[in-house]
Amino acid sequence: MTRSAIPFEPSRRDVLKGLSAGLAATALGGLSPAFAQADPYAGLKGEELELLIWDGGAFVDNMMARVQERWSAVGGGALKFRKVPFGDLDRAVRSANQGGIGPDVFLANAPNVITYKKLGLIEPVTDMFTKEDLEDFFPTVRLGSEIDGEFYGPSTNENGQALYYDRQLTERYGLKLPETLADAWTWDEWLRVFTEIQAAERKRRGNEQFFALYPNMGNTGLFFSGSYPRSAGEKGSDAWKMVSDDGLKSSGCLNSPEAIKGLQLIQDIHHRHGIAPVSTQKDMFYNDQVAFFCGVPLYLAPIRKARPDIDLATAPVPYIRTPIIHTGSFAWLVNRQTAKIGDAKLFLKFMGSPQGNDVVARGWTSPPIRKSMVADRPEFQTKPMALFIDSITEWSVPRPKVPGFSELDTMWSRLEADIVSGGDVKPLADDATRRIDAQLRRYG
Amino acid sequence: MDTTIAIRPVRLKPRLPALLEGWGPALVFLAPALVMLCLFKLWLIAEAVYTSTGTFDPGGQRIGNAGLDNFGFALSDSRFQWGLWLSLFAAVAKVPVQLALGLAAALMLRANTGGNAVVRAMVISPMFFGLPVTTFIFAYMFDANVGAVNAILSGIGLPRVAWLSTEAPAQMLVLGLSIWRDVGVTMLVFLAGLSAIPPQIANAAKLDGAGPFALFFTITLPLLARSFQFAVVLATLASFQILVPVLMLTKGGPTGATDLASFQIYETAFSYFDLGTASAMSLALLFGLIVIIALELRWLAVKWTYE
Repeated sequence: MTRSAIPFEPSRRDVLKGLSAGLAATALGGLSPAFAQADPYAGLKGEELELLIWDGGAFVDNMMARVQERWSAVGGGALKFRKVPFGDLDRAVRSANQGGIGPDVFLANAPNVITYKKLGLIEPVTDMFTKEDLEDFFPTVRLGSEIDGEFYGPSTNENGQALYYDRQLTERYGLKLPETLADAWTWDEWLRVFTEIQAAERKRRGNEQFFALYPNMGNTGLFFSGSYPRSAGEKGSDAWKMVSDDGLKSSGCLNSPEAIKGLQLIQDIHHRHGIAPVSTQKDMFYNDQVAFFCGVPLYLAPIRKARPDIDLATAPVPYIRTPIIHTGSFAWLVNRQTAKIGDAKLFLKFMGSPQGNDVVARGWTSPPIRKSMVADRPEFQTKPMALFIDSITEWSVPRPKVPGFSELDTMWSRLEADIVSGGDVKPLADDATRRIDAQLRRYG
Repeated sequence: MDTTIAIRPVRLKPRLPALLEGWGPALVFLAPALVMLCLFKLWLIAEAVYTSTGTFDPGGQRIGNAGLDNFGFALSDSRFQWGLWLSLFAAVAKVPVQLALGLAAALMLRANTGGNAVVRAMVISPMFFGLPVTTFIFAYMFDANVGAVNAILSGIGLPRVAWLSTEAPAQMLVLGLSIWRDVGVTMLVFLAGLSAIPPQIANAAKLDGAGPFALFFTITLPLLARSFQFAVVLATLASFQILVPVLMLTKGGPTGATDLASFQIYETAFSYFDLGTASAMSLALLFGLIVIIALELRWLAVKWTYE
């Protein structure tokens, strides 16, 4: 039996069908880049990824469950979590690849990105984001993760800073406070108001333990208090930079005359002016024990819960010479040694996309990482929360880009505590810079 | 021809089994403890010795040999020197107080007074709650502005104290917390010692007309010497290991007032990732502790025994 090459005689209709199919195929082939763009996760293998995250209990678990749902929807594989206590996160990332290849993705404190890059732990993901993506990110999201022209990973959310207060309280004394960054006050102007409100409220309440300001120091590293010495200098000055341009020296910057003024202010608000408690218990505003609370958007929910009756308002944080706030949060990073680098990088692309970031940013009740996403968050378009977006856009800078940020932050916390306790500021700053420099030399 | 060969007795080296003759059963019983000792103490000390001779990158990877440089660096650091002195002062302050409180608690329990339940709860509870929990409670109790202790002080007209940001109160707080945590162990040691004193001795003394004080100072206290020695050693060890209260309450401050050597070792290893220096600091502290405990054992050596 012989088999014909064409088992049937094609009719004219068959030829036309074939031609149209060919044309369609050609058209589709020609459009293939457009199709690839339509599927931003092309190449995703659906591999299981292990994520190193900090153990935030049910709150983080629920958030990551929603991330998993959306990640699966775009073809991503199962997400497995290696959880460590919050305080151990940096140690866990640094040692992730000792004794074998560690997790595929790290959730790390964003200022440590430069450290992990220096230690060769993380892979750049610049190719996962277009120029438009990078420009859509809020400034600190990009600046914080960009090292030597490479982008290492998107943040989980943005922050911003402002002073929360109860408008009923300020109206009681006929005080009109700034509501926009354009009207922002310096510390000198604020100190007058802080002193006045504190004195009046103490008298009204008959309670000497009411304070004007909870500055949020004591357990937040230099996120809040680091602004004091930086704000004392002009933009670009040694004080403003806090560390040298190569990130390896703090002497001459952190103990510069301008920076010392800022450090002295930290002490003065606790002692000379006495407008801030030495307590590090964050719930003082929730319990109506302070008038103003320097905070981030994350605190909105607990404030609303604890004090539903207040007329919540926000004001720009005080500054000495240059307005400045630290922002930035956690960043997603790819382990350079992972065997699943393709899926891991695509996971970061997903977490940097509106779809992925929305889950986490909402979970943290914080602003998203993209400017374009604010349109979907009405709460950040009106008072009091719109001020946080303005502060991110206009005043925010990453914390100092130092290869040993964790070491700097530890020593800063010690310096801050010693200053708050009433120590002599200049010698303390000199000693701190000497010790910080000794640690930073190891990264040289 | 007769040949006489003088045979000299050859003294053979005793073989290992011969050396162990009579030790077999003892070794069998000691084996679990020896294994644990090797695994959880000696091996770690050996590891620390090795680590102390290395240089490490900030990721914790050994990148070279340092010889004894880490020891030189650690011992010449004024902060660590201060930490060692502070640890010694902490031991000098803590050990007598802890012994006195532990002995008092043991005597109260032994006497079976009405306050037994309170003593047991006060002394034993911190052992079970765990130090982080107890420290957390302390942080709230002694907060300068919202703490219960200052509220009470203020309520009775006394000035508030910045417990955690003033040097002497912060030191007292760290030591107090540490004493409270450890006094239960001391009490148990003394309770065991009190139980071992033959009652006939005290009865004989009573017949001779000894009162409670004479009984305590001439009979009970001297016969507790062995327990005393053991309790002193344990308390000294614990004094040099104070970490959690410092870590959670003061972080070495204010202005270095609670910057104990143990905290510095922790910080150097786990905040600055300088494992070589941290190991050298640990070994320096260990060596100092061995010397101190050897002196204590010598001074408190008991030369009598029950027949």
